[in-house]
Amino acid sequence: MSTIEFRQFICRACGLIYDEAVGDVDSGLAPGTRFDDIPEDWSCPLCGVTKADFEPMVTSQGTALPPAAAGAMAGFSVDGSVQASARVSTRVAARVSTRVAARMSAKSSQASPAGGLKQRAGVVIVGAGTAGWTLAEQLRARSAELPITLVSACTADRYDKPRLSVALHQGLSAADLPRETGAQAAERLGVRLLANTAVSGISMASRTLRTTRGAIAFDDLVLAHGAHARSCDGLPDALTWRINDLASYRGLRAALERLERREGVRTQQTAEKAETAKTAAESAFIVQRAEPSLLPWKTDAITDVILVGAGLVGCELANDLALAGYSVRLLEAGPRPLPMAKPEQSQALLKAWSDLPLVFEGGVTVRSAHRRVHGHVQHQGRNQDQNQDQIHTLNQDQKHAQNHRQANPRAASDDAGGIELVAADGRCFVGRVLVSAVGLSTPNRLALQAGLRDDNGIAVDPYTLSTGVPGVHALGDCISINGQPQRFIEPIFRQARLIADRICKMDGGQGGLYNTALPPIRVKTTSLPLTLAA
Amino acid sequence: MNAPREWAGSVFEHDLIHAVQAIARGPLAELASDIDRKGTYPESVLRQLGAVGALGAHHDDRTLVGGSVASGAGADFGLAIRAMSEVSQVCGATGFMMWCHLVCGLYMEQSGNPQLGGAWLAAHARGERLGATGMSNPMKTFAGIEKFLLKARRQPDGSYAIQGTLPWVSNLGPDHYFGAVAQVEDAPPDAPREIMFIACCDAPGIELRDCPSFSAMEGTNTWAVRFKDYRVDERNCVADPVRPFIGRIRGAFVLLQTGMGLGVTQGAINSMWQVESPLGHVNEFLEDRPDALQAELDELTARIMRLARTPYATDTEHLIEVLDVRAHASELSLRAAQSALLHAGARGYLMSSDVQRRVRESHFVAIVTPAIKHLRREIARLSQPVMPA
Repeated sequence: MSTIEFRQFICRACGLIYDEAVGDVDSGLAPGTRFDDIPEDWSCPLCGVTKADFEPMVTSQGTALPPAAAGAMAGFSVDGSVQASARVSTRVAARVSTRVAARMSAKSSQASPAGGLKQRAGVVIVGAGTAGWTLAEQLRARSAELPITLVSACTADRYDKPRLSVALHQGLSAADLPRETGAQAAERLGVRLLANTAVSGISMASRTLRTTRGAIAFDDLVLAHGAHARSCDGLPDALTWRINDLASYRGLRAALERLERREGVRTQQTAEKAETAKTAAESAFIVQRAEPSLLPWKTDAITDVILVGAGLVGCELANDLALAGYSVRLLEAGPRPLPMAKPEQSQALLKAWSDLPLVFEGGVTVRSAHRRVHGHVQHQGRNQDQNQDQIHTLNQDQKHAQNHRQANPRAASDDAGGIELVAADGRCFVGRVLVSAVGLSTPNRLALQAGLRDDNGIAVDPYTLSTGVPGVHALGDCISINGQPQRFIEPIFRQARLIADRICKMDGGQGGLYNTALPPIRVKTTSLPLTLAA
Repeated sequence: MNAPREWAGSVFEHDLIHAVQAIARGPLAELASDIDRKGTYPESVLRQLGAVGALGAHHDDRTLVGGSVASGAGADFGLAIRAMSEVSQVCGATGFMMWCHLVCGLYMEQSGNPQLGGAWLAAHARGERLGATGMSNPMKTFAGIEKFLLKARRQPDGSYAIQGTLPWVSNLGPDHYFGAVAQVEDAPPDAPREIMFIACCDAPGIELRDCPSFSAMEGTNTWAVRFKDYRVDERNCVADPVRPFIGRIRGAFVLLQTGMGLGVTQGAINSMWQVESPLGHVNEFLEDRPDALQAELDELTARIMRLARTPYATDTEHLIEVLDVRAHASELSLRAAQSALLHAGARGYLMSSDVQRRVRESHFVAIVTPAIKHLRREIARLSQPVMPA
């Protein structure tokens, strides 16, 4: 009948909404009854106040705060819910929180009602390797007050990664490597450390980092989570050590120690092994291109370590293992070690290795690897239903690893049987410990989820190290510049300085522009140290 | 409300969401308070949702709910989640029952067992028959948190006899059914085995028993279920072995749940806007204002819709994403419901107010399996790099 839109009125006492379209049938108001036509003695069906206590509903959202004002508060309650990691001493946690509280009260006195209470969330750094810690130091050097939170998937202990390539023959145990625990570094720098914390997502709308210990608000986010050691096709992750951090290195060293305990004291065997291996090395060097079937010794000789991949890291690790007396078979798809070096450098390296228990095998493409039990090959698929606590189908590799870690009493004897690696051309190699070093790749789940550009790593601007998303930078092994990953130690310091300048608005917010010149690479093959041009 | 005749892409989606909104804002809104306070079971609402196709959008075979094969539309998990969100905006308990029913249909269809497909699945997808899920215990057991409550004993004829009690299974009724898992007795310890099956409430060997009251979930027809020699054979077996099947459906199972969290959050935001006019001048002092929450909700919804395109992906990265959006939906609904109560003040604290009901619903979203703590634990586990022993 009427062309005027039905309106709604809200009870100022209880919030009940009178909708003209619906009416209030229980009180005798038919649907369609206009508010103006309601008798004055009508009362709110919910709380009983009178018609005079109703007012028109404003259904538009026009009275909302301007987005900027409200957006600034988005992280407040989220941040408050996050507990400092148990690994941070309570003293630091208290100190940091006192500082935060002081800043909050200072801020709140000047905050306008519309702006609400804005806590400064500060900088959140993902990753506690060299990149993450260096940035934390650079930031702290520029500001004593800036809240800094460091999120790490591990204990965040500080160590020099290049040492992983030389520790064995230098007689350093895995426990010797950290020069400072994560907790100590956090205390020294006044950093809130969330150790053993996985990052699950980034919400740019609320400017929060999502973690397994809750969501953390940030003003600036810096991704420094590094790269991870690539899986080698054909090699099950649960059989293969991939060395790119302290945790995996500790695991490898423990495996080598178990090997020594079982096989006797290594030093007593070293001379003999070296002698055998030397012969083998010469054979390998000479007969590299011979038919595999002509080399029966290959399937018989069990080496301590099979190492797949003879790039930089593979050569350094093989060198260190061999110098420490472990027999090593170094497998490489190409014809020579260090494919990125000049051929004469590769040859010189092979020559330097000739006195070591280190055999290089070129032209090996891995097909598969299996654990042998008492001399028999045990196929991966047969040993996977043993731990009822896990759904192995979700991730068979993890399940398998769990099996061995937690529930499989046969694990030790499995080790004793060794691992058989089969190459695409049918050659078999048997070793007791399997290591792969076939390169790094940058995990891209987070970057893609947060709308960052992935281009062989998190794509950053070469001059600003910005990801293109305001307030989000990245540095270290996880970044790429013009599609090239940047996985060198030396530039990290320059990167950290630039980002710290930008976050602290020093040098007009531009900082010193990042100089992308790459350093020369020193190959720590200590039997023949090499320097490669950048 | 007429059943849709054709699945015609976005037009259909629009129509379906429109039809769901009409049910949610009409009969469901009317019933919501009774569902919460009197324990009224909204069976009629569930059947209406089925009639308009809202219980079948996630099925591979969408002809089940009136679609045409020619339209070529496959499972649309995004649409199923959006429909669940519309319902949960009005009543979180009904949104939860919708998920129970949807995921039961998922077990039946994905089982590949023709006896669970066909006419039974078609009636299920249209809401003519109603189903549920008793998978909390097995899911937690597979995650290493609990032990199996049901045992299966092999019978001479090859069938299994099920014993044990599940403490609470929701959306049940005398003619309903639900998915469950039992551990096979006498399986060798190094090769544990389970079977998954559909249990019918009216079959011999099943007894529904009262269970304690649940906050905000009184109307969900939640019962303790006692099994005594309940028979499982090829007629009602979903999976044997179970683990590969769970591995395949787990992402979809969890992703569908996000519809509850999205809806409860949106409902809370809506109620904040409703008091903006009278109370905005004081509410501006609160954190978690509706526009900020809406931006976060919209971002989360977009992320969920992207994941909904590959509901059966099983790679670790996908699973972490799914677990994280589920956790985010829980956390956001907690914050939004809490903030909505602070925005509404005393009027929201009335027992008749949906604002305080939603606070309790948000708690349910956060604790129902997988709870926030379970999700974080699993994300932490999946994030660990795989290493040798």
